[in-house]
Amino acid sequence: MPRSTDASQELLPGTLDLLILKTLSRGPLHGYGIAQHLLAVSAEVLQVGEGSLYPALQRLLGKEWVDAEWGLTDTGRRARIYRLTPAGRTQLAVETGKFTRMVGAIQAVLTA
Amino acid sequence: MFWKRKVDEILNRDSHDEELAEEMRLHLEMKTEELRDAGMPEREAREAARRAFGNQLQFAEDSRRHWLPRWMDEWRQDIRFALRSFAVNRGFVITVFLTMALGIGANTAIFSMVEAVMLRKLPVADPDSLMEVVPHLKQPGRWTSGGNDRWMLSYPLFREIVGAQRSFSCLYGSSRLVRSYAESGNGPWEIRPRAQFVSTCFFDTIGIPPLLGRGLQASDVNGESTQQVVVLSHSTWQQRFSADPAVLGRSITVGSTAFEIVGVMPPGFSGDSPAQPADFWLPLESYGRVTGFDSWNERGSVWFQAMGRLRPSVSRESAEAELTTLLRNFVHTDIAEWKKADASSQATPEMFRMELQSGAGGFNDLRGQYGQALRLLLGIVALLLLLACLNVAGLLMARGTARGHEIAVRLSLGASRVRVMRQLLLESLLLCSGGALFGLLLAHAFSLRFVSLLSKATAPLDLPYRMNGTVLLFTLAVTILATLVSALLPAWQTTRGRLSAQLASAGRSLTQHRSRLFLNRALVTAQVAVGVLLACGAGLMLRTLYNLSTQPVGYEVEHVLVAFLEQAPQREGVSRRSVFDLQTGRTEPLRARLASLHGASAATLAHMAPMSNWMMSATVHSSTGSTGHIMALRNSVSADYFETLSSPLIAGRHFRPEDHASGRRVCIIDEDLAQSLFPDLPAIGQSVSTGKVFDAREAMDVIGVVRANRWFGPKQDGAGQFKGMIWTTLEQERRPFQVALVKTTREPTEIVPALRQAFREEMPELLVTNITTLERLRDDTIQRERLLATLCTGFGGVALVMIFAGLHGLLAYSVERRIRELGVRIALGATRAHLLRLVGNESLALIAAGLFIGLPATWAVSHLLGSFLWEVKPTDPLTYIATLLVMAAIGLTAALPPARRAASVAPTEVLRND
Repeated sequence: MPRSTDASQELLPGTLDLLILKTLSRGPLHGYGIAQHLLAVSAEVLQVGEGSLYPALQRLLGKEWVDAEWGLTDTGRRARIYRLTPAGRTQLAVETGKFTRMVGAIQAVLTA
Repeated sequence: MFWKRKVDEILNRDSHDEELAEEMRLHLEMKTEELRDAGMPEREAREAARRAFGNQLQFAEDSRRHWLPRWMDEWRQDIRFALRSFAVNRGFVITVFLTMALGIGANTAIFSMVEAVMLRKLPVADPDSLMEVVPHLKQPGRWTSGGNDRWMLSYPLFREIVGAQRSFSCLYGSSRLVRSYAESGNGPWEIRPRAQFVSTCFFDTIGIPPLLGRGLQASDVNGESTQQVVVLSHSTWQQRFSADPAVLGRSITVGSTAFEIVGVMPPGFSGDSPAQPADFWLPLESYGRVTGFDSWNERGSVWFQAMGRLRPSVSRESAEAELTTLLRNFVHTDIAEWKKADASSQATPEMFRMELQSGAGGFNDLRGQYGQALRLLLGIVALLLLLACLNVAGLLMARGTARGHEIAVRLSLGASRVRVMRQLLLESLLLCSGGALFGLLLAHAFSLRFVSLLSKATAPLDLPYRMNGTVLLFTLAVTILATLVSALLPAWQTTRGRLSAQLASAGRSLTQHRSRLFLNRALVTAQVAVGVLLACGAGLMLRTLYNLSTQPVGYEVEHVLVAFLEQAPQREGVSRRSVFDLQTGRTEPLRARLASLHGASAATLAHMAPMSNWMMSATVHSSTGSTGHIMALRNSVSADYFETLSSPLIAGRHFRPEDHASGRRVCIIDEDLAQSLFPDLPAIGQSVSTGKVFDAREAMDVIGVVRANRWFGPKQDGAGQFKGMIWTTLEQERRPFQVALVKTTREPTEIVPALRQAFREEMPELLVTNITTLERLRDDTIQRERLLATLCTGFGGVALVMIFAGLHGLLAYSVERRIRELGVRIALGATRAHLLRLVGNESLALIAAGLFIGLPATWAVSHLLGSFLWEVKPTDPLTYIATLLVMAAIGLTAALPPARRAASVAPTEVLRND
């Protein structure tokens, strides 16, 4: 039976994680909120569906880069709210650095 | 932290699922609301939200993999699935469960015995460097009977070796003895104390520091005299002294000697013999004083064993060589003496050698007595387990066929074959593990019974049996092995089917499943073959036991009560002679009183009782002087000995009271001895004497000849060098009596209270140490055969039940599959008798195939049983024929219900179902 992997759904490996971390660095947010923000930034990231956000969130929980707690939304609904952990913040810096270098390198190749 | 989270996730898998579902639901709702607010109709908005979200199931699955590895998730599903399917197949589950419980339980039980008797090590530091020192004496033609030429050590030999040897860092002597009497601060002990006499190096060798005080030490002993000091075991300290911390300096009295307590050992240590725990430890040098054994210090008195700790740099071979040299030097002097006394002596120092055996398990007679039998039993239970596995395999195949449709569907829906096989194996593992757990309970109960089977009337066994880690590990390994053996083939077979065939036929064809039935038949044939092995083994063991229990011993063992007596408390320095003096004039009144007890028909007093592990022997010479060196067993008895034991007189007369007064020494011999001493003339009226040569002054008239007596019991083990038996009277030999024998007219144990009362009233100072029956003593001499016969019969019976079940299951299944064919046959005019025969023939054909393999196989390996059998050949035709008949009977009875089912098929019904 064919099985999709998280990575195959992404533009560039690690992009989705990086973008989620970036989104959460602005403050705690629930899943739908994160999806909205990502869609606003780029339609490409959640290409295979908004739901692909959730496996990514579980992965980040597993790595303890984000933390989750059940709370209430603005409209008073029960929702799982994600926030960045200190480890996640460090990781964000590392990933951002890596990503910038990689993009720089690709650009350099493409423009050469 | 990470692991806590993982564990939490595995345990809370369901709540994770729910949380994720709720989160996704919220997402969809919010998206729908957003779209609706933007003006989309409700239904379209919901659809759009769903489209935007993507494959919800897939995302849930992907998420799950982050909190649970995939394999673990699948195992979980498989286990759940298996448990669900068990719930609907209770009959199947219970059958597999019980079969495996019996197979695995039997293996665990026997292994736990092997572990306790043969594998367990002493709870001391570095048990592997302990070595038992065993002197061997090979003297052709004399002491080689039974192949057992192990000897013990004498004190002078031990002293010489200890003084000269360089191979051991410590070497100690050890003798265990159950004493009749001990008392401490709070009076006499109600149990018989178990003393261990050890030389002072014992505690250094063992290397376990005492809990209180000290162990025995070299300064306690000066030459051959010793301080009267004792070290207590922890349980003695607790039970006899209420764990009094100020116990040191107090004393216990053993026999009539007081010993000062100098130390207490920690809990868990009970000496160097696992089956014979000690209550306290006394100096080796106090043995003579405590037991009244005057010759403890003589060069030729061998009475104790030795153990030592080998130095790390010394090899076993070089230590053996060193000790052998020392031993030969020692016996050199003695051999010269023997030759002086008896010119015909063939003894040479080269007949003696020392052997070192691993002492890691401590002194353990059980290993020698039962080691071989236990290995045999391990083989037998392994066969039983194989049988159980074959049975379960058959059940799994049948179940696989029943589930063929379901499995074909699963395979076609994309489940991989490996996954389905894994699922099937897991189911089997669960079933076998359940059976194994139940088997552990069975094994526990069985092992307790086993220990009691090993206990003897004169030597109760205190085997520290327990289910420890080694045993559990063994059970685990056996369970996994049994699972693989029983489930691999069925799992492969079940997943082999083609969906098209499965779905298309749905059990309609007349000829399908030929290969499946073939495998099932092969399994049943194998079961029968294994069963033949077990049944033949059981048959041979039963015949052995029967032969031994009906073997005439020259006297009757039924309805005889045996009481072991001691003059108590045995006073210090009291010799046999003075105990006899104490009894003088009181023997006959006591005997008469015992004979007159209600329920008794005769009674006698004797120095020793037959089959009680004690013996006296003598060299006997005849007045004719024509015979050479004849060894005989001897006993001294009061009046009525032969009447009490119903040992028939062949010639002459019994002992009479006037024999004593007349002053002529008299004796009775058995026919074997008569034949050896006087091959050509009647024995009555001849005279014999004991000692090195015929001595006219010591000569005894032979007044009677009785039937040949087997003193050691039916097997007469280790008696090859004795040519017969001679009896004298207690009075003329001036020997004290030590046993009373009472012939009863009813159940012997019923008169025990009256017997005890008679002793109390007639001779209150007598200590009755043990009362048992002669039959029990006889049974103890054939204990190993009884044990093997009991266990082999039990295992054989279980095997037959399994074969019956396997065969019956196969036939019933085969009839069900062929029901249509049978209907057609009936419709075409087959008679019911014909159908009965059809099924019966199938059954007998399977049995015959099994016998065809099993009987020759049994024949080929039967010689392994040789040393366990008595007066029956391993290839005994009667046993083989009986096995064949039993198997045929099983074949027919197992076929009966399916055959009747076949004969009762109504053609219209089966054919209409098409």
